[in-house]
Amino acid sequence: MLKYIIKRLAIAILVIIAVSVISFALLRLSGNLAQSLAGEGATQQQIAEIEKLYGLDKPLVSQYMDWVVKVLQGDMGRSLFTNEPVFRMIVDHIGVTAIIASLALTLAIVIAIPLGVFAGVYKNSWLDRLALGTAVFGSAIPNFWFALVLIYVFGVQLRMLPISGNATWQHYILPAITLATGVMPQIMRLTRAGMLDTLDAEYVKMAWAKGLNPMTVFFKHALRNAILPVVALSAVSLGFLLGGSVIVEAVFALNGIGSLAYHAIKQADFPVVQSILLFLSCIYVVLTFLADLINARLDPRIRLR
Amino acid sequence: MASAPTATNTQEMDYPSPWQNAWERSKTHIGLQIGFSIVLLAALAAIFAPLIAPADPYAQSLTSRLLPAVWQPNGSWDHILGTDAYGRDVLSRLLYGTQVTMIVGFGAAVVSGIVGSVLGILGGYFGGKVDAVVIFLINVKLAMPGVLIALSLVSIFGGSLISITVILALLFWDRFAVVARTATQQVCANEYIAAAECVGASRTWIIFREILPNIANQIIIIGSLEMAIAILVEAALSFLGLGIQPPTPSWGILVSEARAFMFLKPHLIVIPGMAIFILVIGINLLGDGIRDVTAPQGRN
Repeated sequence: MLKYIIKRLAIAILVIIAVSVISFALLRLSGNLAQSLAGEGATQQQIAEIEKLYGLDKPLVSQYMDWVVKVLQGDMGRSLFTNEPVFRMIVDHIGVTAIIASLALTLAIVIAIPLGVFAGVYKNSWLDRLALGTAVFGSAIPNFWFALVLIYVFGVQLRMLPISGNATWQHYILPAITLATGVMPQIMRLTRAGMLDTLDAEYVKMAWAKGLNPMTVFFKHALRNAILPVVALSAVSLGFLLGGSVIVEAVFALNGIGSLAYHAIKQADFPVVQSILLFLSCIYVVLTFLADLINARLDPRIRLR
Repeated sequence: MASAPTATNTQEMDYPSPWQNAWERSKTHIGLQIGFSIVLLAALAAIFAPLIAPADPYAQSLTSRLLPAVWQPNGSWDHILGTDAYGRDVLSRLLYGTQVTMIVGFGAAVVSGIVGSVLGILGGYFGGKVDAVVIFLINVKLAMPGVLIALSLVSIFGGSLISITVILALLFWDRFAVVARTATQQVCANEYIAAAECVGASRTWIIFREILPNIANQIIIIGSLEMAIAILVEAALSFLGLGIQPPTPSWGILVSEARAFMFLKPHLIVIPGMAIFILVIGINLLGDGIRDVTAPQGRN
């Protein structure tokens, strides 16, 4: 088990290093930063001063090393426009995104797992068709458009829910539904496929032969073994939702990490953008690492690989 | 008398080819037929947009702003779907938008398919260190927040058709790599690969003549699914303003331009959104259908 953990940890660290190099390089591609910071009509001397101020006159490698050392010390730099510490900005904005992402994932799981279980159990029944239909619908609908439709129906026509901002808990309902629609189909499909496999297994036949209650067979014997890949997918989905909520945040005027990143990208505020990219990647790597550990805990076979 | 069993034998040997099988099965596969029709219709609309569009999609007219569609009160056949806030004909913009959608979606699927398949085949065939590098690249790709990376790249390289296509391709190569790698490993376990190695076939020959034809089917299926996702993401990026740039009529831009009038003119939002939705469903049905009719076991 320890060997497995160490191996996974080493890979996770290598991935984070690679991501940090990419997010650093990405923003250095954007042309002459000092010139755009100095503004139009700046003299050569002003540009040189700005280069010196932000360390842009040094070679790329030492700029990168400076950045990494500072990030490891908890200093992600300051925004080029508001001069706020980037770390502070991320902390201020991550809450909203974390709430809608975890709400969305919970909602998706609560719907997808029972639906997937029964779709697998009653294969080719009307329930199975309904589940697959929902999955096709959920994965084909453009989320920004679905968000607008929800706003139109629930916010404007029925006047049931607020449509922008995050003043009350009701404000989170429509964004969570929008995001959940996107991840629900994958979780449902994976649960269904897993159920189809495990329902054929010998230990499930044994459970039937013992005369167990069908619900015990479905949920305790079959689902428990079918759910391993679903755990991994849920972790991946949460990471995806944190980085992918930018569209939903834009439509519902939520001030989360997505809209922070969006505005920083539009202004070419590179300390903010590269720190957010690194931050979200780290969260993703940590989540998948945890999912691997949970899976290894649930399934002893994985530990031996 | 002696010839009779021989005749039966040859008859038994005369199996239909895989393509004949697939063709027979597709005649009864409704999902495949619907999907194929939708994609064909979209492709025709994209190719013939200049011929069938009733008006110039860029021609603005101050006197005919926000005209109603033909089924609404005061609607007319001059503008079947009405006009937008700049007086441009919505049907024409929708038809030209099909071009953008199909080019970006198809282009992104092809480019990412080539990149991903090459990496996957190399990893699956050579194994060892090559494979470790490929898996590492996939892990790095998965860890990065794709939509935000795409937004940053668009802000750097601009929103031309080519740059959007290439940027989207960068987002989607990983699934091709995963599938191509697994499929290659499975194919390599077959004896005909060992046989080809024994007779001294070159690695290039084995990859292109033995492996590629046997995994092409799976790659094409992933391609259809990725094309659908690429279309959704292109629309979303354009909607956010960091994708295809106005006045080019992308379906995402049509939705974002209509957003300010969504309470007065909901049809301006509903129509392009439904267009994306139907095309994506069509592509998915087509991909699933191809998988069903070409699957060796012939499952439904």
